[in-house]
Amino acid sequence: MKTALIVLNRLEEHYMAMLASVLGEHRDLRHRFVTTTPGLDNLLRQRNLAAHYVGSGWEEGMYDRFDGMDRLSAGPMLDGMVLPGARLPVSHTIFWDRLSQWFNFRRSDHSLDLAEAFEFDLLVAPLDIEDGFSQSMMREAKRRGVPSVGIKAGFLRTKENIDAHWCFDRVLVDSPGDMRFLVEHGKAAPGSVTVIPDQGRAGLVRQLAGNGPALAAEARRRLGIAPDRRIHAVIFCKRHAWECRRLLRGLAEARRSGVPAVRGAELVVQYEGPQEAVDFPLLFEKEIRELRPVLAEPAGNAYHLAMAAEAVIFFRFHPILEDVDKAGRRAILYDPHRFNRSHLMGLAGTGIELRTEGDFDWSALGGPG
Amino acid sequence: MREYRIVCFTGRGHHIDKLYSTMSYLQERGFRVDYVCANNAVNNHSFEEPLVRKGVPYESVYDYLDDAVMDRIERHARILRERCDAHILERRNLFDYVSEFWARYSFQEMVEAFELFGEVLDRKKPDLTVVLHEANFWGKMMCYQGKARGIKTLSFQEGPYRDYKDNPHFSPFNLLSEYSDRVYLWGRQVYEIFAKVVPDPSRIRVVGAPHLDPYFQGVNEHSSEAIAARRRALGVREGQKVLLFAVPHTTMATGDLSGIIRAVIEFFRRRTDLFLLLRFHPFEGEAFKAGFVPLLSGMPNAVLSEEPKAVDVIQLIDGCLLQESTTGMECLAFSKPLIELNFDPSLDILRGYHKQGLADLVTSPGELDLIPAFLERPETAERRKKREELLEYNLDRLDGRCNERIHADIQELLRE
Repeated sequence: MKTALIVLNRLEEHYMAMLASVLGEHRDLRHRFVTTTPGLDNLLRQRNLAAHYVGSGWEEGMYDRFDGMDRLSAGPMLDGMVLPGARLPVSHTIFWDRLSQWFNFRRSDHSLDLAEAFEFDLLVAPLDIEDGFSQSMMREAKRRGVPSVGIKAGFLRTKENIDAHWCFDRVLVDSPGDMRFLVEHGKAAPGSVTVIPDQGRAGLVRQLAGNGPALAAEARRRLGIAPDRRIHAVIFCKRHAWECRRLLRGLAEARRSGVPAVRGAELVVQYEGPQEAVDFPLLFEKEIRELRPVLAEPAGNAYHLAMAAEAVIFFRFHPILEDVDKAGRRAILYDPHRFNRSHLMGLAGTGIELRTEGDFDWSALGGPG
Repeated sequence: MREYRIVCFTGRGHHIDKLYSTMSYLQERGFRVDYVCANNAVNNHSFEEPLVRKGVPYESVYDYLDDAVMDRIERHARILRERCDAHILERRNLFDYVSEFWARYSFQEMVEAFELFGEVLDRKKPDLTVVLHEANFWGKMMCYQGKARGIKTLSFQEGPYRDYKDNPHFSPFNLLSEYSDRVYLWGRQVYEIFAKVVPDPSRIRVVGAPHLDPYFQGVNEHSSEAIAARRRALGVREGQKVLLFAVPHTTMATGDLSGIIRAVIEFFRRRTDLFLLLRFHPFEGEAFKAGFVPLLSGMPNAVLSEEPKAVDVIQLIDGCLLQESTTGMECLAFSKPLIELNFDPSLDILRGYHKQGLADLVTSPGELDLIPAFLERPETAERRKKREELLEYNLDRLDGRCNERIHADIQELLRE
């Protein structure tokens, strides 16, 4: 009997729905699951599914990294590779404090030995460049000429995914925007992408659009902002501290020069996660003194805030911008020098506004308060 | 007199901690120092934070980004990407060992930093560049870009060389330092390793550990009154002995580290005549720390030490519990007794201080009760001799004049 090898590392509802859709088309194949998530193999076996845990990733014993650096920098990919326009070997920089710290040769070799030993006639794996094992299995399928199916896992339209190497024969995603992104960047052939809409996210958007005023009132009450005050919402993520500083510098200038749209508005900084709540007050002490923003804890609901705001501003393409836009609110992607390659994220067909430093206009954010 | 200009790159906290005293010394003598930082690893370890905490003005290299630089970054990143992609289906390539996200992200950030360092240097036109160590993702690129522009490039060293851990070709101590005009080292111990590998050892200077200069000059904030006040502020009572527990990094610990930490905390819970400063390795994961920090709550004689520099804490203590740690070297420099913790007789702390005759040893939770006696015992003549030899070998001269030597050498370099 032929075998479908299924790499399964996550159990989100919509991912499982897409997986079920693929497996439904291959009922004639025996299903064999492999996972790098500890404990998931047990869970699958309890449901009478054949499952193997292969392990992967960083762990103690990192100091065999020297062997790894020797081995990898001498391989055909990096050997002789220099930084363009210079004579500096890439291997002399990129291993330090970067690649060298994050892999374990013995463990990874073991995972790869297993990957190469599996016999399979179809591969189904996450489309996720953070999942090294799945990516290795995808390449292994390609080398063997075995058909493979990738299922979108996590957020697809990122700066790094523009450069990703995907060679699945077929891909399942949850939005037409993702399909456009894959096709435009040559990650998948047009006919090879299937869109299975995420009902959960569609429901969320419907809920936002249908209950906007009530959600907005709740957000204002939580943040202590009067109903007649306009709100400009910025979502702060530590990764984008530099972009955030540029944005806030622009806002400070706009306030100083009396731009009406900002004079009568509250700036709300919504933290993306708990670490941001620690870092923002330290990194932006001066800006906080000058701009006196309302700081919203990550536990607060950013979607509710979005319903109360004139505009929601973030620094990279993100599901929240997409959902807010679909719910009829203004979503702005601020990428000062297209540094986050936001112009390559397939924004066509959405209302998300892409703004660079040269064309960001605070005076256009709503009328005078 | 001409004002010399320095562009000093700093990354994680130990960079500014180790370079600050030298940069300040040079600033006081008319040098202009511009600190620059970059992004790091999706900014999980922000390079801005240590500079903000230190209160020094700085710029991000990304402030030098413009459309022309961005185009160059895109072009150059594409060249490297195409080279990688040409080999990506080969078995056991880089992408099989590093997650593709991390590899792509790192390649992109490498090209960004390289181009932007060049841009910073082109616009600022400094006389000198400074990095903590050249063998570092950013340090290597900054030194290269400086050298390519005829700017004098300086790199420093930190910590002793550990032959069981560091590699003479691939460690922050060596990798040839081929783009540094000067490599400033702490002591002979590291010099001997450098001299074997560096093609032109005449570039190397043994100067001592510059970050310790202020402590050996007895400046005000390190006076005995200031130290007593800081102990009181921590909650240390009169007569209490203060012990620092320099917890090794989880990847470097010998034996059951969690068990050792718990035993130490329990010991201090009983011994209220002692005071514990629990200090984790600066690179330790938050999740690991979170398993122990709550255990300190309700203990009037224990606090978590979060000062950026261990040496600031060492001023306050009467002894240090440790395994293997650079903190131990700094403790010895200030004549603080060391007590090594190894609860597993089958395991060996490879370069342990006990083995070198420089520390007392505790081998079980029960033996922690020996600590007060260890602290009372005067240093023997034999141990003192070993300590002084070790310090001379590793830290050269503890005379508070390292920065003076560096300054003199830089002036000579600038005249060349």
